[in-house]
Amino acid sequence: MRLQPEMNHFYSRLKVLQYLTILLFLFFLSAFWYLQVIHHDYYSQLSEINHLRIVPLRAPRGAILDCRGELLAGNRPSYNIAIYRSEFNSAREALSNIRSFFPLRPEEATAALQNDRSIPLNRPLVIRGDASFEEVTLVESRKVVYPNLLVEVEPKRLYPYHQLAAPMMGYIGELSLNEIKDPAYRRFKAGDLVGQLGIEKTYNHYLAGTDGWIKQMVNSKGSQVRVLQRQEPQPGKTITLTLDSRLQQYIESLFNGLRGAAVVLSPQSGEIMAMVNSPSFDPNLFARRLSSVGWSEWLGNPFYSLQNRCIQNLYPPGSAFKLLIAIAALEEEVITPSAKLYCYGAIYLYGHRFSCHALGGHGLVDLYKGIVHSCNVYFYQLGQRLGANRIAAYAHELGLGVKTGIDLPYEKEGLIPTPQWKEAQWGEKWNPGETISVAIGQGAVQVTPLQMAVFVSAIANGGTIYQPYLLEKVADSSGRVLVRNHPKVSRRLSLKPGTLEQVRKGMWGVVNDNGTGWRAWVEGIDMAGKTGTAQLVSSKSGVSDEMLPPDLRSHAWFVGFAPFDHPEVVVVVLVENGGAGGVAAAPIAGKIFKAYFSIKEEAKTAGRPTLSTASQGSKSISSQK
Amino acid sequence: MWERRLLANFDWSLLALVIVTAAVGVLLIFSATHKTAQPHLYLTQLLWVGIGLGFLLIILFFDYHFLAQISKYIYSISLLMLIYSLLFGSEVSGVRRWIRLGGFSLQPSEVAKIATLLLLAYYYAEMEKVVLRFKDVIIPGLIAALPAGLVAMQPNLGSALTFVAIYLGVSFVAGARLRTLGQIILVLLLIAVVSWFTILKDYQKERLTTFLQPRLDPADAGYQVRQLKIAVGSGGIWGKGFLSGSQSQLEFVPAQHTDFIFSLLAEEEGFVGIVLMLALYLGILLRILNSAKVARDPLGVFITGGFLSLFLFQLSTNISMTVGLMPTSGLPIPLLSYGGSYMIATLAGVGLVLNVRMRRTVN
Repeated sequence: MRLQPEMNHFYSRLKVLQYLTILLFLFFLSAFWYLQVIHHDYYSQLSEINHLRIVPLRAPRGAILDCRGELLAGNRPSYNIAIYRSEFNSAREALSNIRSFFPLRPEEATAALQNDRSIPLNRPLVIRGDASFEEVTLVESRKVVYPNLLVEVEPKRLYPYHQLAAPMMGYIGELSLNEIKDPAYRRFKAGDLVGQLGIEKTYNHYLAGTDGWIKQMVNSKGSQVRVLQRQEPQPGKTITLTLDSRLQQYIESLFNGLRGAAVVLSPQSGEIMAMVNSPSFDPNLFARRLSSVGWSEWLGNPFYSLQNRCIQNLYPPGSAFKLLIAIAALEEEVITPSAKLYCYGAIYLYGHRFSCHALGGHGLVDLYKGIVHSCNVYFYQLGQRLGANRIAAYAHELGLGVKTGIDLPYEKEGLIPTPQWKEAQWGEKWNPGETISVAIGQGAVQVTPLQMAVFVSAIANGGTIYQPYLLEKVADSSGRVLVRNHPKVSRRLSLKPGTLEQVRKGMWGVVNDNGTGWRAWVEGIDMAGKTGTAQLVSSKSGVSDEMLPPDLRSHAWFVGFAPFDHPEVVVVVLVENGGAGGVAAAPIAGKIFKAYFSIKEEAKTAGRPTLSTASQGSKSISSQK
Repeated sequence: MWERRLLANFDWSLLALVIVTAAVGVLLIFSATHKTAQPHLYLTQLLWVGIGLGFLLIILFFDYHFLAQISKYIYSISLLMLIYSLLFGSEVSGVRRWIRLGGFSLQPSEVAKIATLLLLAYYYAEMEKVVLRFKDVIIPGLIAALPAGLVAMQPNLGSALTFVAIYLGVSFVAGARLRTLGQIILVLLLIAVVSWFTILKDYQKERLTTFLQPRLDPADAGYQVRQLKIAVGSGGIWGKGFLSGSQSQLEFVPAQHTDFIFSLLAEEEGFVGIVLMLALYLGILLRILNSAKVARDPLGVFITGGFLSLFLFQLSTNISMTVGLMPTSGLPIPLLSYGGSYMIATLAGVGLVLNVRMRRTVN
């Protein structure tokens, strides 16, 4: 080979090129190593977010029915507008991208940005809940231009009767921060709607369905290439309550303009047929997503209340508590039914004057008369003989001052005061005079209306404490019954024969023998009851209720059961600041009894199977007793 | 002109490496397009490879000295074609770079590349100087600048830069002093600064700026860079498998059968595929270097050295773009990217290298 002299020079230049080439290749290798090996996981994830999308298929929440199959809570179809953020650097950017096409209200944007952190990138972020038909059409028609927008179908909770039984039914709302941490809510994720109160909360695990999803592969334009996986939503279970919506509705109408509570239950099983709270609220307002409208509407409105007064509010039972004193006194043999005490209209005990409501006194009073006329002086003396500790023990035994165990959240316990309690709570010595107040259900005695109902049930049924309940059965969407609830006996009291009979007799007299509860009397219904007037200010001041400002007037109670021979219904009525129990509460109770029996009668003649089986069921229980 | 002993120096391994690479390219194009509106592009590419190999063969028949001598005519014709395409060429998305010939479209810039390479090599070889000073590289500079300018007017900035690479490469091999090279680069920078404020289009500026600030606008240039990196990174060591690269198949990476075919390879065949592919390319480049080293005369060295620079430039810019180290500039990768003119020009260049080596011992 003939090598020209200058070829050497070129050779060195070519060598440089060769080194450059090899260097470049080493550089390329390390660049690919960096991206493909070191940062593979990161880019892998980004690639998945790019092309895998989750379209949620929201499961409908289970329906809530009343005892006759009437729909109390159902669903209606609604549409959410949601956005996929994966193509954008941030949710903020995604929102600004659609701003001109689909403007958001400032509070919607804030809510969406807040949710952005908790919702995975491959899932859509809801930007408008319950969109209008026009909005849905608009988004659907521009799908090609805005493929990141999604119209999502969401069954929305609907309470067709609005405020009916609302504090008991509850409402639903987005999973709270505390619930996210709660293992009981493990299967729920941020943004899911769960029961927040009442039946919706207690039976959320039945009612909440399991959302499904479509895992789809999308191309760069955001349109679906194919469906990779599809998980069908599992609808929630249907719950049937023991509640009778007709009775409930009627009672609520009786409470129109009043504040108070009423409980109707079966003394033979504890099943609740009506649970009235007034005022109430409209749970439909809370079913909305991304909306604070419900709250603000409620907060400023005195005729709105989430409070389930039947289990959450505590009231002194007033004279209705005398039934307990009577039972305790008979059991402890501090009195006999026929033993008479004299009422002068007042009595001096421990250096204090304790008055009776009859100014001239009741004269000679035995147990029957004491109950019928609600003689304070008679029961002061029984209370004195019993002492606070024995009263509290009997109260607890009979369901007062203890939780009933109803299937609702946030039940309150109440209180039957004892010297030990006072010592522990206030560090003060028990004043014997306090026992006298306790004897007529005043002082620190605090019970819930439901506790009173359980207590009266025990009187009516012969001493069985049932755990009150609302759930009748749980069925799947095809109607197959999964769970059937049965009455639960908390305890059976072994009382002396005759004790409850004497008390019942007295209660009969309250309504039927010119007693304090005569206004409850209804023709054709053989009922028994007891009134109560729980004073909020001391009666010693001598002012009558009518002269007090409305919020200091006494709470009016009436508790009762019917029919007298074979009790099948217990009614408890409480009217807050209603004044005398016999005036404010007894007439309402009478109407409730009347309604109960007429609805029952109507169902029988109409041959409606649901109610007739229900009443047969309660009869069979009563015959077992 | 044709002698049996020419075959004795024929670089079969270079030809084999080139054909294997082009074949891989056909497969990748199949993967990139089989689900699109043009599912048969891989067959067309196969045709381009065939035609390119035909050109390669034709080039082998002529002595490269003869080709260098007639290069000024080819160069002139290619300039005319560039002007014609600017005036009457068919416009594709705002860029006039095609001349339609019957059923085919011809990219005159590809012809101009090979012609410029030949002419520069011829010019320096005729100059017969060992050391080049600045005045020696002025005329070659103009030779390269003419087609570069015309291509830049199409506008196609990336391709215009290719002429700069050819010019720098040939000048470097031909013996330009380092100082001279430095002066050339200074002049180029000056041109760059001036054109930034005068002729660069907004979209071109945007590509450069979004590259520096990729988060500026995800919907456009920065988006491409991001998607490319995702495609490459998600490929991992073993890749997602042939035909299963979601980034490419679902069109998150644009132009995946032309400019970004290397990212498809990275995604579907993974790091392993990349290593094998880079090995093929390295083999090709080293064979070309070897041909340059054993060339009979300066002209042979300049032609092969110039083609090496061209090839290396195109390869490096495309790969840098793929790994997100350079703005997306519309430069394809040799032998893999889809494109008739481009494939034919590349194979013609390979033909020139084979030609130089074949004739190293002739005469």
